[in-house]
Amino acid sequence: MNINPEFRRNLWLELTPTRLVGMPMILGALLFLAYLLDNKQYGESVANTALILFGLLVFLWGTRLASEALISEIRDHTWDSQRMSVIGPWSMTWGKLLGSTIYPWYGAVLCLLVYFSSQPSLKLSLIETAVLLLGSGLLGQAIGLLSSLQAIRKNQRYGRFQTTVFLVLGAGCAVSVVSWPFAESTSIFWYGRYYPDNRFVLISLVLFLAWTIFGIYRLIRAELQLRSLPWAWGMFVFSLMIYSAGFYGENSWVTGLSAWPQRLLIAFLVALMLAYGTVICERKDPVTFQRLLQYLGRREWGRAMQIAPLWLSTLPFVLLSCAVLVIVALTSESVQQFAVPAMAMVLFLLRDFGLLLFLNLGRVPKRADMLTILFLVLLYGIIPTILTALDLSRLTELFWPIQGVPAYIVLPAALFQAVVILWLMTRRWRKTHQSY
Amino acid sequence: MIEVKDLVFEYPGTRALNGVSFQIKPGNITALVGPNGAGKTTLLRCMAALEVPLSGEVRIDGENIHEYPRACHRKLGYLSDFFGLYDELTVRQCLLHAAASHGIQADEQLRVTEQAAARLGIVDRLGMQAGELSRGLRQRLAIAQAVVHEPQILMLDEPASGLDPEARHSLAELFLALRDQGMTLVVSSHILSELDEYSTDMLILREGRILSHDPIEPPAEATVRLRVSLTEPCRGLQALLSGLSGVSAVEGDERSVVLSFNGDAAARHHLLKSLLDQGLQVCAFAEQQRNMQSAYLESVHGQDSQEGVR
Repeated sequence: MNINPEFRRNLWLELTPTRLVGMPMILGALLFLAYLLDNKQYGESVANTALILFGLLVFLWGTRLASEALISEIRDHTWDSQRMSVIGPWSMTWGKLLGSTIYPWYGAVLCLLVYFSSQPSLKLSLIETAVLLLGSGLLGQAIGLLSSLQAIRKNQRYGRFQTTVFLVLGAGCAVSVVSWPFAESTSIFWYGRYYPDNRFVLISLVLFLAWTIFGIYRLIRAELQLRSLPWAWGMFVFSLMIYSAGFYGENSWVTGLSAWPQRLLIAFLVALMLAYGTVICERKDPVTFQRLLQYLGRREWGRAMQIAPLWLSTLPFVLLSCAVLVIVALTSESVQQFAVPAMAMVLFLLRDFGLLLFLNLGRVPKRADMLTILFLVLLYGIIPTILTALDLSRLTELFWPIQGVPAYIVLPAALFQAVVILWLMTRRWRKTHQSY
Repeated sequence: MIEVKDLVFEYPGTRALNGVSFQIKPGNITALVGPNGAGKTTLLRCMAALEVPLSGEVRIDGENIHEYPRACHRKLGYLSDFFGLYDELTVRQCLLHAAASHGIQADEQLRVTEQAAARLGIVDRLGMQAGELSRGLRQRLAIAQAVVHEPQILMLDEPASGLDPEARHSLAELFLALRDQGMTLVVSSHILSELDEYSTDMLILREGRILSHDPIEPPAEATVRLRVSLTEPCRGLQALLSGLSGVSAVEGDERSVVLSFNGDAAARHHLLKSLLDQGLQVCAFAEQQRNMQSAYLESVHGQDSQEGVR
């Protein structure tokens, strides 16, 4: 039988006889201690200990191992030989995700068995609890692997600090998901209906787990030099816009106003945040842009879309949702006040992206992203605060897409800033391009 | 077998490859040489589809490697300059993993593993952990991993760096054996002496451009390279020697020159005699082997002088 080579390699590395014996011995000792401390009762105390051990093994250790799975390959110079292999992207995804974390999962499954057998009463059904715990653990690990993979595609040098960031990100997401149904039971409002929170969280968990694993698959495809059109990213952006917008409108039946304009605003903000997120997370070297321009110049649209950065693929969603928002604002009073800030946000986004690209095209692009974040803090935070402190709060409208600002002030100001930065960026691009 | 056409590769701010084109025939061992930073590693990585060029194409057996990377990888073996091994796996596990990764069926994996180990002379180390091996044996294991799936083409980047002379020699023998078994090899190095033993072709890369790509042919039997050294400098030495019968391509200074001479042993004796008769104080008169080093320097100097003329 042909077993997944990546998974088999991890089994060889992780499940040595000593480790296989060691894990149940340590877990057994800790659980036995909990049993003794609880007056020799095989009950809640043992169950809670098993649950804590499960969390430590899966959320912390497992997520750390998943985050390091690829970084260690790059550090040990084995990733190139993996990329030269004929292992498919799905096999690589599962082999890395499940293989690198197999040892913590081995211990976690033992803990889960103890938890189920010792917990006197489960808040959720057995299957629901199992799906929740296993799914959230897998989600945390998948987020750790996905973020490290994206970081590697941006920059191949990563150390302990970055791994810890990926660990915190993955574990944070997993713990926030798993803790919800264990807290006091509430219902969740989504698109005009109330759903039991445990069911809603479980379905959301499965949905986001599927997206995260699919994201890993797509990034591994790219690492293996397999070309893909950005339809998957487009679908993710769209589904997240739809998903997030559904939470608004709980009081709409009281106010009698339609919730759809506000939902549209939320969808627009989600697209905007994803655009900012991707532009920071992705690599922005001039060679990629040059290649993109080459394809566009030759009218090879498919090729151009294959190599286009994700932030560029997100922009149509931002622009389209803004346009729809403006059209709706003309007919609905409830979002009229958001139309101008939304347009200003798009113009400020163009300014910010222009700034980011301008700095990335400079002589030292290594710290360009960090420098851009500092500039944005300056533009969105420090300068408006200074102006407010100087009793010049009207001038803050030049830097903030805030509600209630007249269109004739904020839009020309934002447009002017965007045009200047984009002109500077184009100038630098031409200069860089000519220097090759 | 390998066709590279108008390959351009850029790192941000640097053009590493500038319109590189060449072809490599099957069964050749091509030495890819050039100074540090010439673009050798980048070229190999583009040829292995580990990097995507800005423009141009690489074809392996007629297939564009950047269009069909997975299909081409079945035909390729690649060993990077900073190769890595899974130190905690045994040699057998390393090779089994490499075999499985290259799509070898489960029932065949053990056989090809043992075959690769035998080929590289590491059968007796199959049970050892990769981390316990010496530098030379690690190199052998890495090459065994690269050839376990019997690729048609093997690309190696600085394969002999860090090896002792004995290990380098056995590596040269190994490359010749692989060539004899039908493999095409591309070996990059900036240490020319190590390539001498096995290369059939030399591709010189400099500042991202191909300087020359020629077969390394032994000189015609009657033509030899002679080094002539004098105890005292002699003005017009090169012109004097160029005028003698059978002498061509004189290079050097007023004290020492290297020349091509067409003639047998008796003719060489007459040449020496005529030099002495003309009052030249010859202190050395010896045949110089034309090796890759001299061929490389000739190409580089030839290019430099052409650029100087321009």
